[in-house]
Amino acid sequence: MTTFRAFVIALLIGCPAILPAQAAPAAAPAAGPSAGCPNFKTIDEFVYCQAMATLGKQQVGQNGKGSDRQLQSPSTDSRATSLVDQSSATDFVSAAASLIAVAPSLSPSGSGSTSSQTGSGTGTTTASFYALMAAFNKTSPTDPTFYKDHIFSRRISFTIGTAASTQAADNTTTPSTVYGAKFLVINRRELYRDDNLGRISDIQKDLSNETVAAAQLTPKIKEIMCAALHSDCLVNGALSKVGVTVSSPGSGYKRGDILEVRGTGSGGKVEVFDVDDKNGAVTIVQLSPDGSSGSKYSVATNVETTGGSGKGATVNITALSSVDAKVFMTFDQTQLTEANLASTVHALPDNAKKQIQSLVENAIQPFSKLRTDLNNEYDQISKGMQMSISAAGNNRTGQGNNNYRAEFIFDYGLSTRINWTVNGSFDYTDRKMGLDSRGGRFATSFQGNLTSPTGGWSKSPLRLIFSGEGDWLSLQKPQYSFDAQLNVPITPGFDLPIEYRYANRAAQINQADSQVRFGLTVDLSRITQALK
Amino acid sequence: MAVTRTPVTPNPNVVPVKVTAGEFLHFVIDAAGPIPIFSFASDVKGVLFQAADFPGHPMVRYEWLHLKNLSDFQQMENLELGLSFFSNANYTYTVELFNAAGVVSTVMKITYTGEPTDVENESFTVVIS
Repeated sequence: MTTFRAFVIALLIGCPAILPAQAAPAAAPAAGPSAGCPNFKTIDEFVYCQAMATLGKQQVGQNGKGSDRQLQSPSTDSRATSLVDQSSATDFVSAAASLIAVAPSLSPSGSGSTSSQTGSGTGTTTASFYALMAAFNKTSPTDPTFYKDHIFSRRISFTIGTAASTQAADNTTTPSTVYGAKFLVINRRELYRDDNLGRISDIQKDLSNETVAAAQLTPKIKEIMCAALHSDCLVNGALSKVGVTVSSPGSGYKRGDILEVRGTGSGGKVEVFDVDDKNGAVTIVQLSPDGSSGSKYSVATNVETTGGSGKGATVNITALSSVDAKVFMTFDQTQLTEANLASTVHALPDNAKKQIQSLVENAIQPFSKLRTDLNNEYDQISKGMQMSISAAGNNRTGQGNNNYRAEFIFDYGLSTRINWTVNGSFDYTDRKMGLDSRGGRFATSFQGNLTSPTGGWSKSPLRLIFSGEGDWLSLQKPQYSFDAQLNVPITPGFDLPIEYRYANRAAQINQADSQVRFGLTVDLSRITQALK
Repeated sequence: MAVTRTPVTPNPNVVPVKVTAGEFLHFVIDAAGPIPIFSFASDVKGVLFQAADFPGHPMVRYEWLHLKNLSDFQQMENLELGLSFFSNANYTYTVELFNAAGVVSTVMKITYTGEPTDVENESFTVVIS
């Protein structure tokens, strides 16, 4: 049994180590990272920021590291820094440890603690069945295909470890073995539910509409900037990149021929991109790659061309531009680079800024819909109800008591920042030196994020948790506990739970008890990602 | 918006492609999962690709070619990538210039990390000759 336990612990802790690394840049970044508004570095970020500024400042729900994920030891462990269990465990692997053995009483009432808890710290590891499957398959737990194909395995998680024991409560000071399993019966936060896949599909449609809008808006904003800062960028009747088509194909032309467009204007050139191989008839022309768009053209059909190796080709001018393409391209390549964009934006006159603002306002709908739907759909998923059942045990050798718990757990997101959890359990204490105890337990908890997460695999948010618990066991008076906990993120993957707990009476002892506890939770997957 | 954008090879804004010499562009999106959401669009032609269009979606890697066919040719086309981090926190976007012999150069390579409600756009202008 001991060998098997050691194997399982080694397996759980070893999981992330054998996960293949995600694709990562091989070379050092050529430029520093940017982090979006208001520190835009690219013209695309500038355009997006303009759209967001137009939409106004709405609160964006960020709850990437939801308060619904249990990383700490199960509540059946009396040294756990959590009074209440949560429906879902980590998707991957986490470890929890009690840094400091139970502290002396800090009860302000002066009643003092009668607890003689001096046991060593608690340490448990929790892993989802999914994480084990990923490890066995030597694949990343975030691999999209693997994630899609192993939905059910994310419903099951296991916990194993040790917990300190005290003579008064447990009839031994030898640490117990903690083990448990949890099954997520209902998980409305699962991405692969039909309703959530529908939400993702809606986001995809919204994003496509936004991307097209941005693709069309960005060149127009660039043109306004160019015209505002370079008088020669603005011309009357220039050939447009979409406004020249073949009218009469002529003959004898070759691919790459440059043709000058006649008509009312001058200086405009097109390139022959495809010809009929039989007779050299022109089939596709495009604006000349050197940006010679000319000036003073007007919309016309069958406009003569000169140059090239053939003769007789004419074009239709279907649309015109007000920007000199050559000047515009030079401007784009020099003044809109990451290095120069900020100074270029800074140099814009007020009327150009107003023009940009007006342009953005007229194109705001796809940006607005995407943002609204992102926030709404995220709220719907992150607040989804979860319900699970679990079983856990603390086994002690010799004359020590064994504790067992069968539990019902319910989670619901009251808001994007506040999660509500309810536990109801049947508890059984197997006393080898006395009468057994049986009874029920009810606990509830509110977990609130005080800060927003700052990155996909970054630190967890600062989290405040209030919990209450009632225990009604045979042969014992009812025990009521209150718990306040501050979960402090240290670095990505490491959290420090600081807990104050008050109980009207400690187990087996008819005196009030209050304690301060410190713990350490380690999310191995998050650490693995942070180190990549 | 809290997207962290880290250029490995910066976006040059304007990308020349000698299509008459057989050059074309190769696009790659590497996604960490679990469900990537992205769109690739042109200012002239609208949506060209989106994640859900690819057989096998969701995947770790999405690849496509552009300017390989005559129907792709559009002078000074603005090609825009839209990324949503709703169900995928990390992307790497790579654009390479190819000819018949293989890779000519890496035009740009950028990694992005974002939160679920974040969106990021990345665009450049193609000049064909």
